[in-house]
Amino acid sequence: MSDPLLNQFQNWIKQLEDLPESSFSEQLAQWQHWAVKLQQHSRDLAPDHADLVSQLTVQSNELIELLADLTRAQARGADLSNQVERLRTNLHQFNLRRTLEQATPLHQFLNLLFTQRHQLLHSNEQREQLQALLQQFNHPRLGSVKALLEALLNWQASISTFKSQLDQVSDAAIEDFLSQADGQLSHEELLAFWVRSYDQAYTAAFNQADLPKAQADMISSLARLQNRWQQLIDQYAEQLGIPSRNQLDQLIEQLDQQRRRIRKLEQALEQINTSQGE
Amino acid sequence: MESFSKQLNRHQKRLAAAIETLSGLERVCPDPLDSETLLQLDSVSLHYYACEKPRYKTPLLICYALINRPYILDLEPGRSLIRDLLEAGQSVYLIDWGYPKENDRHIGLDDYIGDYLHTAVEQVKLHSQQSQVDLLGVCQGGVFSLCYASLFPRNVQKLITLVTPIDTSVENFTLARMVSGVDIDALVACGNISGAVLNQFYASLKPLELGLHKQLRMTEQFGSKSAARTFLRMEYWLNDSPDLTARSAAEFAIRFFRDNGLVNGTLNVCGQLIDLGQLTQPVLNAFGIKDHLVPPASSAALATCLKRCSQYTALELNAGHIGAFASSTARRKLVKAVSTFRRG
Repeated sequence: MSDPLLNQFQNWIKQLEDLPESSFSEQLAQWQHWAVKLQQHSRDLAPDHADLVSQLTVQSNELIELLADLTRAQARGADLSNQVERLRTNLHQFNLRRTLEQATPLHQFLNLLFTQRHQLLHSNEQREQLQALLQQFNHPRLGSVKALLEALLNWQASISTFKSQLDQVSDAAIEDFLSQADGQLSHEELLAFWVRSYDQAYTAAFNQADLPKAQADMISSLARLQNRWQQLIDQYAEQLGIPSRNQLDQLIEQLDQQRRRIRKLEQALEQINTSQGE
Repeated sequence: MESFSKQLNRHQKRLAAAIETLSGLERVCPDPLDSETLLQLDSVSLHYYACEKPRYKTPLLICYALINRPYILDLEPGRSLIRDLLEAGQSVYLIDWGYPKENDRHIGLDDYIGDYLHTAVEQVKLHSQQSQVDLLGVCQGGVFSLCYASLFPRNVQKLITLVTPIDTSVENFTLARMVSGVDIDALVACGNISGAVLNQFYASLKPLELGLHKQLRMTEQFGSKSAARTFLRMEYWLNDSPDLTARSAAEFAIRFFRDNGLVNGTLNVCGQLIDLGQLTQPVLNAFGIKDHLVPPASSAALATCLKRCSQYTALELNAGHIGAFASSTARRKLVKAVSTFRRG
């Protein structure tokens, strides 16, 4: 037996089909009212999949908002070029909300780079100010801290470089989109076309040298940053008499060497037993 | 141009249908076959799927990649390469690499191929009372299988490689380009590569299609209970990603990807250079022509590497990387080809 709320939702959808079209803003308002209700009662609607129902409702809402925005843009006489800009803006907002709401691990924030359209983090001027500040960290005891901050600045610089490469990907994708997209496409088809254009431009850019290098530099500098952070922790741990990660790592490596010796002996013993059995 | 009302109506109907499907749906997990565990060695295990009416004497051992989990080969009834192989009269053994822990970070290719895979093969020989195995390697597991056959040729009767990367220099091999320039030493100094990071890496191969667009269109996956179950099981599998040990990640990235080791003959495993030109076993090489992860040209390059192979067969599947064994049409073609190949 289906949930009463779901029945009401389905009946309302059916009614809308039969009635004359209401105004654009009225339709959106009614939909948003339903979206809130479905999210609030997701546990009643699907006890074993409440989170998923909530997620699907949010995502449906995002898609409808995107389509609504494109509809408004079109009503204002926006051409394809403006429509793709609206599309990109909406996609980035969706990306940002999704990333923040899901409390994702830090590395997943890098996904924002695929839709972000403006300059990130610090300007060159701010970076230069930070570099100048770092030059004052001259005391030997601050060496590790200075190295960590330098690694952080390098990582930020690498993100900016990667971002500028992605901007070129976007430019190529827009060019492809505008040259091939048909003004008669539905909004959903426009979205699918943009997705395809972007991903194809991205793959094509990976066949050149610059984008792979920029991405590799970003990953490498993030790894170096993590290592600098770990070194700093190790340094303080040793001062406190706590075994550092480095020391534990050496111990584990020794254990692995022992394990391999034992495995070789086991295998040799098995072979002896097998040949004796024969 | 379709009116906004019609678009709105369509999406609302989809959402309503999705909620209706989910309201009557139980919690969903992969539904694999029962198997017998023959071996447990550190985090690695060997599983045996018995065939009721076996038609082949030589046992078939499946070697999956270190990335993701091998139960994708047996996700659910109707979407299981293992079940299909069993129905075709083939008993199946499967090596499961398990979930490496942080203290496994020094486990490398020599351990995986020279120890774990070798031990699994010896166990399969003992259990089946046969002197050789047929080895089916999937993706990176195919690389492992080729290396193993090179190191222990007497143990391997026939080789099957499925969606296996060979030549990392081919065009559109985005994954290879991504890996090549990274400071691997810095990366593995951080420890194991986490499964979550790997997932993000793979999704970034098609950043919008596999990211935002997939999210925005997700309601389309819940039109029916069976479609919903399949989708949820796939999502479960996608997110169930083990870590890669630091050493194996570094070695594979450098020796295989960056140095194009299999093609150039520079891939060193267990102190030996792997020379595919010396392999004499018959080889069936299956790959997906729509594979965006491992371009078909990369897999097809195996043909030029095998100089002494007694019988080489290429099988093109009209599918992507996972579709090569997950989609019904491709899987049927694959199982038929494997059966004919193993029989011949």
